Amino acid sequence: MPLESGTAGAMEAGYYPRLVCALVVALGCLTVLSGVLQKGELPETWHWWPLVMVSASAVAFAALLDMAGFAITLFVVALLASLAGRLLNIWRAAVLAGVLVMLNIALFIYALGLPLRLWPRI
Amino acid sequence: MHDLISNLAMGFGVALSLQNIGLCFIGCVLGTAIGVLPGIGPLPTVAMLLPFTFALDPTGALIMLAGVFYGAQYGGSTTAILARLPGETSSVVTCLDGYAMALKGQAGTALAIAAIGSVFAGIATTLLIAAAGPPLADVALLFQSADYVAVMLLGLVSAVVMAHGSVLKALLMILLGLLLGTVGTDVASGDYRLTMGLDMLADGLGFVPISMGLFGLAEIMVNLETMAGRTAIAKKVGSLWPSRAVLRQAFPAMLRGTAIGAAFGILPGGGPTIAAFSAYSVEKKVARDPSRFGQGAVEGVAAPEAANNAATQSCFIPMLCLGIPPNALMALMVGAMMVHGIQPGPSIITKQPELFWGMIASMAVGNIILVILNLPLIGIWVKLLQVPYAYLFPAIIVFCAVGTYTVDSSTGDVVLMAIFGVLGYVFRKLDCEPAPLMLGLVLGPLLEENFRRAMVLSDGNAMVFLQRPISLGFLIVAALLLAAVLLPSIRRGRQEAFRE
Amino acid sequence: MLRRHLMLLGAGALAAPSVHAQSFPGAPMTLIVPWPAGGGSDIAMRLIAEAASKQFGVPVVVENRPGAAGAIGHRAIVTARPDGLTFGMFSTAGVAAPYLNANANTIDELEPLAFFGADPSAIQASKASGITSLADFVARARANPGRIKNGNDQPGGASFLAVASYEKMMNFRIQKVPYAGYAPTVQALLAGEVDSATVAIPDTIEYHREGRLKILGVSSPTRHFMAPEIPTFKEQGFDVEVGSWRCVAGPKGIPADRLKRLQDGLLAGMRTEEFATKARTAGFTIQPGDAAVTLARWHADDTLLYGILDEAGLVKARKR
Repeated sequence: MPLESGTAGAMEAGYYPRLVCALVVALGCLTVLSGVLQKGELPETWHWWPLVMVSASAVAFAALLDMAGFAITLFVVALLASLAGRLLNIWRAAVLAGVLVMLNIALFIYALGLPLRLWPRI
Repeated sequence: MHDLISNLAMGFGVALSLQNIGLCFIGCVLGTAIGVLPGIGPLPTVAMLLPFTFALDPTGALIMLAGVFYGAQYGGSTTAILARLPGETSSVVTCLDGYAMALKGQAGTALAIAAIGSVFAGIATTLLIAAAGPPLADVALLFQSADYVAVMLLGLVSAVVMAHGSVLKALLMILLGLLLGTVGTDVASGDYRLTMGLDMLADGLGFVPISMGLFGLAEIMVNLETMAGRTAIAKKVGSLWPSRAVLRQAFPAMLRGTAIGAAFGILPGGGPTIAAFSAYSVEKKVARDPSRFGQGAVEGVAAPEAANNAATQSCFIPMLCLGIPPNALMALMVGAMMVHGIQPGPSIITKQPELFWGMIASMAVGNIILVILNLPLIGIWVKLLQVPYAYLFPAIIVFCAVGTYTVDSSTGDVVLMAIFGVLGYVFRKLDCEPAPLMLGLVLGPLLEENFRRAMVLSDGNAMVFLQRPISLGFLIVAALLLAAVLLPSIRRGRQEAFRE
Repeated sequence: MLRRHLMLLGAGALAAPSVHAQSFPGAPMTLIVPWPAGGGSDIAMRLIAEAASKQFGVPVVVENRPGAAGAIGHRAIVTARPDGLTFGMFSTAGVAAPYLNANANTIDELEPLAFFGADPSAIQASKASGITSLADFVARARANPGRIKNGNDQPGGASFLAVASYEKMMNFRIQKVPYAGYAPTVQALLAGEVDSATVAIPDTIEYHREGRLKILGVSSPTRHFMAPEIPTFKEQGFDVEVGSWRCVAGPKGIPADRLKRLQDGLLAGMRTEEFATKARTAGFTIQPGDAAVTLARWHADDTLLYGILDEAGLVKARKR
């Protein structure tokens, strides 16, 4: 169901988004035009590994938390995150993940008392 | 004058009682802590504390809650400087030069300047409230919907000034922010807009997941590309205490920031955020060498930090003097008063002088507590930066995920953070800055609400924005500012075209 | 000890409670408030949470789930596990919501628990408008339909429903300008941006006494205890009563024994002297009532509000 626009004196929900959208399109066209007309450098090359792994670790948190509980989830998140950097070998990454899990449990569950389930639901 | 002194003396008498100093201290410590943690902001903290204050007397309760509020502004700059994580909307600007300073090994200086700027602004604004609170409060009543629209447009234009790349891209990022701000429930009709049928979007896109993604995660992704040989963010940690030369450079910026912040704080809506953005652009405009901004200019930390703290304090003016809360947090404070049977209104000053003056005096006390609390912490924060990045960044990612989750206990928000992390990376590659987008996102809903109301009140006549003197004044300033930024870049563009 | 034993015996004879019911609640309870912390609804519910906690002997935690004019919080109540440990606030606006918003839950999806009270509505006029009395206001509104600008909630909110009710009952038409809550509405009234408003007495009484605005009347059978100087509508010749009420509701499907214990406990908590004093200090008009009273109020307002919304052309989401 499309949102109605209404009139300037009695705007409906669709008026303002369309207004902003029209401005975005107009400025977007200008930007494209200036991009075509002016010479510039090409964007830097993309590095896919950190991009994918950092997002994957955040998504893992969302996917696992309800099922696996706080501790296991955080361990996986921290492990995936370390892998994004490829700076640590797997053992060091695991130790780091363990330490981070303990620190976060201490901070968020014990110090701040947030209602988070620590272990998986049985 | 004599009245002022005797009133302040009474206020300090109240604020310096053992119980109230204790409550102020608890509030400040809590505020700093939640300011440092990404995610949990002052609003949910105050909401959680509210039931505990039922047992306290109203003055003590408000002193503690206020401490949480301005304490959070102190803490919020810490993660912005250390890890480019803006914990509060008003510390988005501090990320720019604060983090740049940290990369250059001046994290200690940046943190110290932020703290000094905050305490200076806090105490100056407290004195302003004491001396001229009631007449200033009436200024807020001069503003109508059309005028708020003009103020917000000025704020948005200031984000163009602060961007150091292409003006066109900055404008586009603002518009994108405004567009993202339209997601959620339409205020006027209650219709769900652009929510894609997702319940979690019914309340709009949250500030925390988006800023954690665009700033925090994107920064890590970019850092990791070149990180192979690097071990720590800052190889050397300069002196902790700013040199006299740096202080001399920062002081005028603090003064201007305080003035701007105090002015914007009185107005309802995005007070501290508009103030911080405007203060930054003013610094960039008055600076002899604007190209330093974004590369670690000390004024770029001092001015916005002073401005957001000044605005934080001055938004107490309409609340205390008129009983009108300019933002959600002040509304909580009014709620805390109503529980104790104090009705909001201008009579608070005459009927509850001890509450009014005690509260004001406690802000001065609180700012001093905060600076004593925070300066020694700087040494510890800076040590954190010496942890090798290989260990530091996974900690930041975990921190971001948990922090974002805690805001609404929503795993959807964490996915949103990941999406905006990827977007933030793309923006970086395309040289588009995320700060203007954040301002658009924060101000967008307020802009729309006031714009629509102004149009309803004028029966659809858009000339209303030019007919009201306040609105016209702000629009002229905004137009001049925009022209001042656009003209050089157009000229430059033409020169380049000719050269070819 | 003996008394407790006797009570249990008595209860057993009446309802034969299961082992679970004897230990109910036995765990912390959650009270969902569909409005932000610090507002009138939040304060009212926190007082109830405190009273209920004393009755049940467990902590009652207030959880604010604001947004979408209450619809998000109501959804949280409807979808909560029906174990009697989670319940929440429901109000006038919630009855109207499903007609405006296809995603909002209806009263049929909720279990009434206890009635808190109804705050009478009032009409305030700005100083700039020069309106002197309720009769003057009504005369002006009738003479120039749609010219008086009234500050109120967004469609469906309490003060919006109030002004829509006045329009229908008192036969006039004014322009409804939406604001996000009472505080911005009051500010707009003080600034003279709108001519009138339809917010509650406690939010405006101090400004009335300072002469910054004028409360034209309160639409309840008796004068408001906080503002005895403000005449009722009826005293001024308009037999109109409009108010917005608050109550406590739970999800459908709570086991009968637990439901009974929950309803009784909430009502008993609200009937204590301590609760009455605290609620009065905070400015609430309370009329504690049981589940039957609550349900009757829902159905009465469902019919009334549907008529008002239908006439205003606001019934968008579902027809009755």
